[in-house]
Amino acid sequence: MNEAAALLPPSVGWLLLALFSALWIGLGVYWGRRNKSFEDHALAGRNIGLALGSATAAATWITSNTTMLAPQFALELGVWGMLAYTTASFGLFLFAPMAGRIRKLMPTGYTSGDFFRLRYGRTAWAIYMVFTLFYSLTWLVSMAMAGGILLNALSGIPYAWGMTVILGVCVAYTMRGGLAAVIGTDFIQSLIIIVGVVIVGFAVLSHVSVEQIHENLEATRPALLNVLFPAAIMAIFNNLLFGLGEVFHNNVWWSRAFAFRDGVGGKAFALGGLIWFPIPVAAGFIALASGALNVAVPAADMVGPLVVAHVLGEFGAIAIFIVVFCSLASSLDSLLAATSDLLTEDIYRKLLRPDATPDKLKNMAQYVTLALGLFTWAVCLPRIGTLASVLFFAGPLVGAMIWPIVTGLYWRSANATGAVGGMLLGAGVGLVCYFAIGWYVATLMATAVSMVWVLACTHLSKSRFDWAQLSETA
Amino acid sequence: MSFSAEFLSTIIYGSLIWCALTGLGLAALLIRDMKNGDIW
Repeated sequence: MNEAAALLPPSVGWLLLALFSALWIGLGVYWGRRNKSFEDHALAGRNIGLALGSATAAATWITSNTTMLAPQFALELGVWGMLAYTTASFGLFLFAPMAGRIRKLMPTGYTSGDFFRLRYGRTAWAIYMVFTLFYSLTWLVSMAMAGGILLNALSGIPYAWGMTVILGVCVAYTMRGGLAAVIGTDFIQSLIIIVGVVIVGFAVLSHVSVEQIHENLEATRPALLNVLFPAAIMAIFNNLLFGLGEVFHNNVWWSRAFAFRDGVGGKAFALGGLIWFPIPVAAGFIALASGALNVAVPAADMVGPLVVAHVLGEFGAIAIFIVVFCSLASSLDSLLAATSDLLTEDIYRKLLRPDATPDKLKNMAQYVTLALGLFTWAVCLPRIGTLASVLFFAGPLVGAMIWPIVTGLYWRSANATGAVGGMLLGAGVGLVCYFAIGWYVATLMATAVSMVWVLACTHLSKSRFDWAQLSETA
Repeated sequence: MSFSAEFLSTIIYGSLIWCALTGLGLAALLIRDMKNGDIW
């Protein structure tokens, strides 16, 4: 997008970028002073309280997808599109009891990879690592790419520069401050996002009433109000299962379950879900107002910023810029930290250097974060722009891991045959459905096939797992 | 069958008020944790 078509002048964009970059890096350096070992760096000393815990659960889940894709969902799938998006919060609600159990069963655990290795053995662990690294790296690259594209669209900052700055800032403060910096900045970012969404929402409603929005939709796009909109109803299942699979399997969430103080995990994830739940509607409804406000929408993915800039002018564009920057940073930093911990703990410590000192592990985690940042930057630089579809492609992999994790955490009779078969069969069938039918059934089929296999193996199993084996990772 | 204006109004205002309350709740939680020395 050229500078003239952007909502803000580049100079304002650069000023905002500089201010927030300095703030995040400064806080990362300040909070990083507490970290003396790998445990401090990766898990913030395992002592995160309820306020920071709830905020980080919500903020990490509020990606640029939430603030940008929710309006797009509303524009394309109507009221059901917004409501379908809210089901992604169920992942946080259902992970709440699991977080408490994870902390109880694995008081000295570090990663979700530790769970797979100890619970199901090396084969299941290897499959899990391939699946989760594919998903995490795809998500990381798509977030960084979205950062460059959005900063360019909002302020005219060239794509390569915007992507480089936002990625560089997140790498810098995550390297220096570890999970403490990630969670601390998440708290500030979540408050900024919530306040921004509320101000923008009420400002839009001061220019157009809900009745006017409804009348306009009934006259021009009645399908968006249809209670039986088929595509939108299918999106509910896809979003729900994708959200469950993502939260249940990814080390982003497991690292928080390990990092929260004893007794905090369950409450923090439940509160995080409550905080996140209304965001898709609060951020998404402004797209429905575009018709009533006579805002031309040349590209559906820019409907949110266009409506806000139309109603609030430069102030609105600045608000959107800040909200988007915070949404991107809160997800990028979490992915960088969690993926770095996974590679440091599961590959470096467990496979290559079992005798590495805590200080050496902390340094390695920092180098891995830097390497992840450089890898992401190199992939993002050509601006491929098609990674959203790759992320949907990962849906079957994510869905196939739900049942091995849930049964492995709660049932002694869940076994490696069930976990390995469930992941491979589920992902395989899901991918076939992805190509043969469409993305909207892929995750559902993967989850269903994996469920049948895992439950059958668990039912027929004579083995009984000893939970004490999960606490042997200190 | 269509979603009514009343339903639309309820979910939009409800979500905005919900967001505002959770923002206040988060701030209050942080102050409580700070007072108790329980932030981290």
